[in-house]
Amino acid sequence: MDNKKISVNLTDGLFRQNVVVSSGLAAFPVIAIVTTLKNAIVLSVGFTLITVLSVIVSSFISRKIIYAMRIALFSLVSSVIYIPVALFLRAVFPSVSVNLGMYLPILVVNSVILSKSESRFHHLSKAMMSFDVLIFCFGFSLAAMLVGAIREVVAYNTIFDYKINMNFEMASAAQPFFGFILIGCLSALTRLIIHKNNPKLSKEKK
Amino acid sequence: MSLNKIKTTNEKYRDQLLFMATLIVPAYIFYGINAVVQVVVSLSSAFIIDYIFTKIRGKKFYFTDASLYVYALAFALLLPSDFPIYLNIFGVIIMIALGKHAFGGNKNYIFSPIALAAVFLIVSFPGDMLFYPKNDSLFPVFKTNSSELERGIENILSLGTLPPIDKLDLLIGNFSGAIGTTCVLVLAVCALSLVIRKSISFTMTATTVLTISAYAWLFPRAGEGVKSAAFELAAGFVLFGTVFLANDPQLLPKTRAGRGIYGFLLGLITMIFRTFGKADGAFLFALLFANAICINVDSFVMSISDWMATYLASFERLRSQTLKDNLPKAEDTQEIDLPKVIKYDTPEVKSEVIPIEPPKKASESIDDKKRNGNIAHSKEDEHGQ
Amino acid sequence: MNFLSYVISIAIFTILAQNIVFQSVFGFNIVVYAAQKRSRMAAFSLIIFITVFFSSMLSSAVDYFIRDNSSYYIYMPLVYIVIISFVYFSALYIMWRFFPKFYSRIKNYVHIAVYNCAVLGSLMINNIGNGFAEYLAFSVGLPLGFIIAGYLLLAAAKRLNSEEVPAAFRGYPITMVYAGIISMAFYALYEYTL
Repeated sequence: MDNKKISVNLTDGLFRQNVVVSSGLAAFPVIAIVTTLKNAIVLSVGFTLITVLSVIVSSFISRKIIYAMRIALFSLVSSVIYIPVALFLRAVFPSVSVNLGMYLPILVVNSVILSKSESRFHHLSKAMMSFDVLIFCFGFSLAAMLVGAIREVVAYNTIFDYKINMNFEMASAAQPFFGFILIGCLSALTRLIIHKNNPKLSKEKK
Repeated sequence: MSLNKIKTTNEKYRDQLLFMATLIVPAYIFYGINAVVQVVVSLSSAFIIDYIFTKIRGKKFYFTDASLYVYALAFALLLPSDFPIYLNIFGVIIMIALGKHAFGGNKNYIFSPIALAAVFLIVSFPGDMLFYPKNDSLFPVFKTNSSELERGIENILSLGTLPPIDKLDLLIGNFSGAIGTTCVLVLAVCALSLVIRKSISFTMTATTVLTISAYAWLFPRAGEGVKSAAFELAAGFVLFGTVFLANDPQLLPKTRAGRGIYGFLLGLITMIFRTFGKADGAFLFALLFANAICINVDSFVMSISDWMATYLASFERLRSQTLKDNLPKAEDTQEIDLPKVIKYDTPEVKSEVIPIEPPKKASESIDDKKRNGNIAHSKEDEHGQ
Repeated sequence: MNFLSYVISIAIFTILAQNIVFQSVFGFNIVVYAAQKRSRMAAFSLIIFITVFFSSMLSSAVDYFIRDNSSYYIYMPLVYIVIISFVYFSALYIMWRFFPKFYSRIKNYVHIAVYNCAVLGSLMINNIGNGFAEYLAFSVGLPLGFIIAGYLLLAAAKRLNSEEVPAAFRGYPITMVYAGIISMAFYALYEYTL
């Protein structure tokens, strides 16, 4: 099938196409479950392992198979890869991985594996692809840790379980609605930073 | 001012501001200087924050924009009198930055900024938002005596009992609640005056009140009949919210049917949240929902009315044509009921193409006449005769 | 009638208090993608409803036998992906064979509508020690919650992408804020700790 190679900017995954604050492909676990920095770190490790391994293994699936069938195989591959990853996380982070609940297994169908690999990763050479996926996962981790830190400080007045002396505690920061609003604001901020010199932004109606 | 004049949006806001300001008087009587402090803090911080965000967006700031003062005053009147000042300012920031400017300013916001800020504070700081000082307990400014705080009557109703408040106290607002939402009598007068001045919608207001009353009558949570309806209307932020928040000129649907639907949904969702939910301030949550659901209610109403006009108009046209013995055209395929007197005998429709012969001309053409010698050969001869 | 009213009440609870998009946050990017066009939203709604309903019915049978296994959480996603794939390929074959026009219209995105967090998340939420009535109610309520979320986003799409919104917020950021406000509005059904 379509085996054309494309040229990409390898830093896209950090900011311009960050899967949390720019494209929203993998924002759902960050909104729902990343309420502390520990959660963010464990989720990032799980996301990175599942996504990188799934993308690399699924890149060996022949592109002669139509995409409608290939996506089923991608999902099967990632759900098989989930098994050792889940065992590893349970062994290394027993309490936090339980806290993540069903948001860890749901990563097997995240859009980075199913859609992004088809539109971007599998058009690159194996080495570039691995590096590109790692950058995307690193971007996810950065965003998740930032959100986790902000929410932990605001909701519990702690950071990594160390108490901070603050007079402002808002328990609702741990709820999904706050995650939505926070990521919306971070996304706007990211866009401002990226497009600081973009003339389109300065052409707003007066 | 003539009552028939069509008001601009800013004039409506100014009217609402004027009548909303009258609620400060009973607030001062019941809660003292604290109530006035909340209003002043809210107004001044809203002015400053709106100015800052307007300049950040690169737009022009209009001092005469009454909507800003309406938002600030309405927000202050939703707070308890002993509400922490820093949380008041925090709420104003949420209202102005998130509720107004993030969505694009006055012309494009989807949710009532006041309801958004109040709901945010209720969810985040319920201990500060939902406990009110008992009446006649005037607190020193900036201090709170927590032993004299109590929940509002919405909470008492949710427990299945009627609050021990008599009719006069209910009318004048002598019970625990937010500083501007308890005085039923003043709110009723404001509503009536604003309806007469056409600054708020009678349809929307009446529909909301009737829906809530009917639901409380039919499915009472506490008490029954008129008492249940009266307390459900006086509880929470219903009356104040219906008159001032839901009648935001930017959010109100333009069509009358749309306003009716909006009011009905608002009242229904409020009572559903009160019945099945556990939290106070159900009206404000319901208002956010109603704002989201009724974004396109005007286009929905217009499409229904267009369809009815098209469908019914074509039906009537067909019917009148048939009754005058004019058969309908082949492309009109709607079935119609005819009186038995008229026999309707159409030929069978065949799918094959039958060529139609051109009609034979009854009279000779001029060329034929010339050939036959019936007319002169030249026009001068014709005209000469 | 008691069974039916019980199922309906749980379904309504699922739509509102446990909305799959605004509370559990499953499938948010899918619903944003679907809500860009009315026809696409309708197609996604139908596909997700059918997939979740039939997958839930199948998974209720599977869960009954293997739920008590302590390692179930490890291979649960694999089992559910197999079930979803079975439903997916069966539905694709039926549509291709008997509804070719409909199949040609949806074939570009049917796979995205099936393999996403909303469908898998629905099966996982349903797995929490439920009886058949709960399975039935959740299998109806969860996709209906998705449809309602899609309608709310579709209705606001024009305003959220308009020129009035500041450029930094236009599109994805303000959509997130909008979703957050709707998610907050659902809190009327919860009790707060005071």
